[in-house]
Amino acid sequence: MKFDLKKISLKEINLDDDYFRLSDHRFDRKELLDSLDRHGVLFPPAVVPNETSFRILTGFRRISGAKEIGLEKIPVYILNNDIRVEEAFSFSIEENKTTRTLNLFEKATALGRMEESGLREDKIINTFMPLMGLQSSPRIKEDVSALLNLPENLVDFILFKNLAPKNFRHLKGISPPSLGFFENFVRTILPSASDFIEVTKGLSDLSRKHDQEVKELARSLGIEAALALKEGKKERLEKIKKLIAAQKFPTLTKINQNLEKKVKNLESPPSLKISWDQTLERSEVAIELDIREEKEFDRCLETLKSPKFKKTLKEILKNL
Amino acid sequence: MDYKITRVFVDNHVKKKAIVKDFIEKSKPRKIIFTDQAHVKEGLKTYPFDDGKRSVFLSQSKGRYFKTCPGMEKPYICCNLGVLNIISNCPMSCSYCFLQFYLNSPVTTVYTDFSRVTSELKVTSKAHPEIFFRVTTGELSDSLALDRETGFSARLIEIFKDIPNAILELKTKTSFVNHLLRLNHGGRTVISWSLNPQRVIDKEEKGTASLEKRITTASKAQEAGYLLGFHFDPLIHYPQWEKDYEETVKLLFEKVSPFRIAWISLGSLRFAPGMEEEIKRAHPSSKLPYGEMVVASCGKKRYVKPIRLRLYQKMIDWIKKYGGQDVLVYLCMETPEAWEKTMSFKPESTAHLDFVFAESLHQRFEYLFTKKPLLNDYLKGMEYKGLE
Repeated sequence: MKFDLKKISLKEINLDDDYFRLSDHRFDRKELLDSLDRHGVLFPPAVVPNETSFRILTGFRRISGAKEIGLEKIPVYILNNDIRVEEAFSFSIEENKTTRTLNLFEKATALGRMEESGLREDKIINTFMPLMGLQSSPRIKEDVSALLNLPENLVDFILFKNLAPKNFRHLKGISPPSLGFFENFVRTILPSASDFIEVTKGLSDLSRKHDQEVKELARSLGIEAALALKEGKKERLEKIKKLIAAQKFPTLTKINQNLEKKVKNLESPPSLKISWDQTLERSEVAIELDIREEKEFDRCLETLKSPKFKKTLKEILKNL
Repeated sequence: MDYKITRVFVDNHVKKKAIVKDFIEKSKPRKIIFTDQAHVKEGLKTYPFDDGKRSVFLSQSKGRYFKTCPGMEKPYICCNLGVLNIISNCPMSCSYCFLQFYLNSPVTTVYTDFSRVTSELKVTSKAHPEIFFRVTTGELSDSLALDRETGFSARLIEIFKDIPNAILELKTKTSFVNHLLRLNHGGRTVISWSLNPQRVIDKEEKGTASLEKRITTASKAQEAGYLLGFHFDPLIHYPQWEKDYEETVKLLFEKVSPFRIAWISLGSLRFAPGMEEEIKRAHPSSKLPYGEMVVASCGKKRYVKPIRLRLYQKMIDWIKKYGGQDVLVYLCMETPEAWEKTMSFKPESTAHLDFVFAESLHQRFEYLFTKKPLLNDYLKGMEYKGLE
């Protein structure tokens, strides 16, 4: 590939043509502007001559930063205008890699642009995905590309929490109003990554199971109401998770609730805890004693020996 | 079943075999590609799912063809079925099928070294005359789906006829049996059908024969003297399941006699790790991934225990109600606890269950045996499982 290093006027560069732009706005602009102010453009961007101006291949942020601080001319690499689309993408990705790693949204953007430009699917998957540090797989391409259709603050959350594509692929195909509900959930609760996955995946699955919009489902299940409660975030999140679990596991929820009721009716001392595997896969009951004083032990023993306890235990075991 | 092979890949190592020429003549593919094995496996990674379903790779294997069913991790009890992996993958498109995710190639591979397959089988069965072998070609494929092109089943029926301690099971979801009806099978072949209510077939078993066709075909096979088997696997839990499954069992026993049924299996829907995500992708309209399932101790996702047990219990009740008490029913890949709660009997081990099969077949079809099966032989004989 042939190129010349020259200083050209910023006016000659077409900033509106963002065809090869991979970088998004999620970066610390202040640091870049400070550097440009102090040293000018240290790493020349790459451009391709167009009919009347230059098309940017790499360095969108550097060029717009240079314009912002009032530079008139900057050094650029000028590539031949007969460069093939394939070479241009390859150059753009490699150049970006010398300064920083592309984030997942930028990779999704690159995949989208390559598809638009008519690059062959197998070329994108087998050549460009590994170049961007992605596994060569049509499935991963599909998952990563899902980011392009998500609202901005969900993308922000996904990038901030560094979620793997398999952990947001369920958001693909969810309607904008329903994605709006998830945006509201993220904004209101500020969930951890695992809570985000549990709630959004749980609701997306239920929506597909019942052929019902997430937003409608959230309303009918009382999740929207739980989100709007005046309680703390943690309490609201727990309520939401419980409501989803009850829908996902109706049989288990019913049996567990029934057993919990029976245990409650025992009125056993607080130092005696009865538990079981809530998935009901393991047929065993755990009885835990948390004794601090001798008389607590006596009370526990009394409960354990009572016919009522034996009857309850039998009932629990029957259900496991 | 309307299934057209559009592309045949031929491994260069087998291109001169008569079976290859025969397969190509019968399947009349649009494209024939001579290649090497590694190239096909690599090149097909990005193939669309449906394209793979219409492509066949004719090759040979370095590994063994005769093995035992791999579903044997404790605490689950396996029926210890022998498997002849002569075809790998299937042209039909059942949403829940583990083959889509278990095999690393989207095409159907047909192995062409039939003589090695049969010699492995003969050597192993001869080495263990005290054991009764149940052997299927339907573990990694549908036994009959490619029979028109391969002719494998007829050749196997002929071979099994003369093995004194084995029985062949041809498992299918097709209605393609006419070519087998006039063969001399010696009563040593079970043709078995996987059954589900028509509602499930319509939604989840694309490209397969209808329920009615499967049962009518089974009835024809029974008239031709074949023993029959039925597999209600996977049982699917959905709002109308009780009505649908009862009707299915009733229909089955209206058309076939329970006295010539070798066995009926029950197994509930299960997913290997990651499989449900692949179903969501490959079969977006399927509701199966959204069932009430948890990760069981085997690492697979299964319906929660109360649902599983209810499915089995009701099925057993209906089979007894419509088919009588004597049909051998077994659970596929279940825990001893599930057996005990639904059958009031629990096999102690896989070897024990293998013996239960032999004993039941001996009682009902004595001609299959040269001697009475003994439990000790089966308990000792676990070594024969090390077929590798």
